[in-house]
Amino acid sequence: MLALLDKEPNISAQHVEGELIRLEAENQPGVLAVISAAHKIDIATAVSYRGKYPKMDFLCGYRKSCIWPGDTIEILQEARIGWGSAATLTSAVLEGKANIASHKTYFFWDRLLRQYWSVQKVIREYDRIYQITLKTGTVLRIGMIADYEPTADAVRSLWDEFGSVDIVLNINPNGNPSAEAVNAGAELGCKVIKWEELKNYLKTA
Amino acid sequence: MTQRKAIPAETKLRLFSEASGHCQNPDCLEPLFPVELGGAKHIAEMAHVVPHGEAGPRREDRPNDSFDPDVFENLILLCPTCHTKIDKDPASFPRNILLDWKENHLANLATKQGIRAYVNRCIAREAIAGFMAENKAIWNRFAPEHGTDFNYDPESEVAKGWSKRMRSVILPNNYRIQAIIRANLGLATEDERRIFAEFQEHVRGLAERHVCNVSGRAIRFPKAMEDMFL
Ligand SMILES: [Zn+2]
Ligand SMILES: [Zn+2]
Repeated sequence: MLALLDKEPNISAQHVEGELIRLEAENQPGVLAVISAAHKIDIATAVSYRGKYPKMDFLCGYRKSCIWPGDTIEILQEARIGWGSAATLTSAVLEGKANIASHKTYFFWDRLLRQYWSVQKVIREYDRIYQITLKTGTVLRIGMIADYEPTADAVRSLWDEFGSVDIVLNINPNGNPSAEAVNAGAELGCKVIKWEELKNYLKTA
Repeated sequence: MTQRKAIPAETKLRLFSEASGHCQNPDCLEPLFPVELGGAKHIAEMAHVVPHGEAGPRREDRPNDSFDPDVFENLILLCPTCHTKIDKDPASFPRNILLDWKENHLANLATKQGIRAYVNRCIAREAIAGFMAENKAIWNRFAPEHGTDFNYDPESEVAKGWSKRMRSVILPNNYRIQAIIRANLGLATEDERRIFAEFQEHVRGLAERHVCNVSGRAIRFPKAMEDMFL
């Protein structure tokens, strides 16, 4: 993690105690961040960090595999503690908004789903898993994959880890799912699509 | 040729790869993803050597009646100017001339780009270093997962920028790197030859992805390419 911060010349980092570090960027308030190696940050984990480091501004799950359940996200946001990946932390420090920052990978998509006209209700089950209810009453479970080009394996892993979904949304604006990924989705019983296709689907579903 | 049916993606890809992103007329060799268009659009036209229609240019060069005009062997990639030229004056541009252009295209392009065999690894390295550095700089900024300017933002301009730069800068640079290494394979070690083969596969996948919109086939840039001829 400190190696990662080394690449960011505009941030200075110092170790405070345990998993707590202090980050500073020019003209921005200092940030107390907890750097967690956990693969999953559930409520118990988050609460214990808060007990240990009551002044933390940001909770960072630095592993690429780190998963955040929806209820953890909710209590962190209510407590005005930022959360997310190492990349989220570095840009939040530079922008001076660590307390309100949320996982960069999913941030725009969370807003997009909540603001979409045909969506009535949004439940965030995990950072990347949503259950949405449309105005027509249709309920959809959506899983997001951030990979550049999701593979069949990425689609199957999502199902293994989070259970069945109706739609796998490839949220990388540069990428497209491979034909194999689309086929794997069809075998499992879900669509593997991009935002444009989802939008059309939400209009009629 | 407005009446042509769709040409298969594999044929397109093969044509584009062999043309290395340049018009195959040796007197032209213009880039087909011009920098002035920002890489957003290409100007490449797939021209038929012998035509579909009864009255098309070079009709009399047709080998036999069962000949399929849409096969790779009967297509050549040209800029619009050259396409017009060869179709308006078929007498000056018969089948054998066009096939000859295609056959010698890579050699013609290498000559125009000043690519040749060098006396030692050090000079060969210098010849590719600038193109590799430019590609890497673009990658660091725009890379589709970890670039400093990249965000998972569906409305992001960066995503479009990446694709354009891929076609107007990265791919042409890669073709040029390929041509330089090919001309200097004699200087490469056994390992480097293997890495070069991987690199060629990587470039083929990039073209498939960014020119023909076929995803998921590209292999990653082989890291060891960074040390080629070092
Ligand atoms: Zn034509
Ligand atoms: Zn031309």
